Amino acid sequence: MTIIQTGFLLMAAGMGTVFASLAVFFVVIVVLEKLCKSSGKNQTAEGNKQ
Amino acid sequence: MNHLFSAVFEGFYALQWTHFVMYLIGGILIFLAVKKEYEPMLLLPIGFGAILVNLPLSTVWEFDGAPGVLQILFTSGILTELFPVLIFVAVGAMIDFTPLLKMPIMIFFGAAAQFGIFATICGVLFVAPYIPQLASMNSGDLLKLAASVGIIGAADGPTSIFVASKFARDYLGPISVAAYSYMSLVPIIQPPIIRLLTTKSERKIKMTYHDADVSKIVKILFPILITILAGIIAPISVPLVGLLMFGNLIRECGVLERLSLSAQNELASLVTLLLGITIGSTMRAEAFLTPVTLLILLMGLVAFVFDTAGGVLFAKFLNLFLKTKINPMIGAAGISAFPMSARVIHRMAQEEDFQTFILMQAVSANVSGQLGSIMAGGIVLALVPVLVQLFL
Repeated sequence: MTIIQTGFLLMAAGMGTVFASLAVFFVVIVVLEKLCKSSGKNQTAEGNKQ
Repeated sequence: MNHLFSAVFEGFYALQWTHFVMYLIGGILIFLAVKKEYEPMLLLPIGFGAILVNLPLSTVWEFDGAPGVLQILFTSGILTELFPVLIFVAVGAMIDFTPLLKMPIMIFFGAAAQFGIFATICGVLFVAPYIPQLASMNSGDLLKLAASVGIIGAADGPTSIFVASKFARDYLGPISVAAYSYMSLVPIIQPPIIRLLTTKSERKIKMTYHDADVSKIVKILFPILITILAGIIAPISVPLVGLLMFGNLIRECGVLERLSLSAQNELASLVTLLLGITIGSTMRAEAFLTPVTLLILLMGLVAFVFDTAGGVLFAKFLNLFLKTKINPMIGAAGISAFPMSARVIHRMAQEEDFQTFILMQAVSANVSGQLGSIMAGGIVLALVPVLVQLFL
């Protein structure tokens, strides 16, 4: 493999991994938000009952 | 008598024309810092460091065979990666990730705008055969140098220094100068590229912003979880991501206000001061005044241009599938230069139509750029040695 081809491979692998890792972070943020919102709602509902 | 004469005037005897060129370059950096206020906290110490290290006999670097003060700082602060990593603690304490947590979808612009890093790596590899100093390099070292130049596109000084200190120590000076100079030139570099790639109507696209509350627990869990995930995805990025997130955790936990303020102020100031002058000390005339320095400065600009283009084109690509269109200028804010890039984008939108408010979306993309650039730095550090071992 020539060095130019290696450069393009690095570009494909690098951009792919950056997108994939930030996609994982995205999922983490969304799940965290959902969990916190649902626990918040539960607490409010319990408070209303009391 | 002759010996006495030589000893008194040894500074004059050691002077070369290249020293004067470096005084001029140091002077220009100080001028840009003082007069134009381009990244003054770094360009001024770098400029003065460049003058110091190019004084005859360079006693601040080495004297009578013993390391001088700047060499000690370089060895203990840069080669050990201590200074860039400490800067990340300070940066983490300064960053508010709330805009990103409110609009997590913006995180993808932080990925798209890292395109400049990889485009520039390929660019350096294309032109390398035409530069004698690089043409004679072995392929592995050339790829590492190209990666260090490409990482200027991270628009993140400490990441550039971190990668260059591992892959291309000899070129640390020009890479750092290019990284910090272009970061301060974002308001000049980005607008023409954005105008070139977008239509007037695209730049006027209005975006709605829903102000949602982010709970404290999310703000605290975010840095912890990101550190763990980054450690699993790219273990080599942990010194960067981990300490950035440590700084952010100190900020968000709410019980360490004194430490948070110390990190944002005292730590940031002290390390920046030492980092700047130490980087300046790598700019010795014999290493700096080469065609490779010109290539680094040129390709650094290319990296910023492709970063901007990558972000804008990604937004335009998404618009092909979205019902509610995104203002494609947001993509350009996916670089790490925070908050300058977000401000530039918002100002451009306001110039097109004063009713277009995209500041919060731009800030979200800009904060994502901080994460994206660090991850890109870690990924480059992880991938390059593997590729060298497998293919070169």
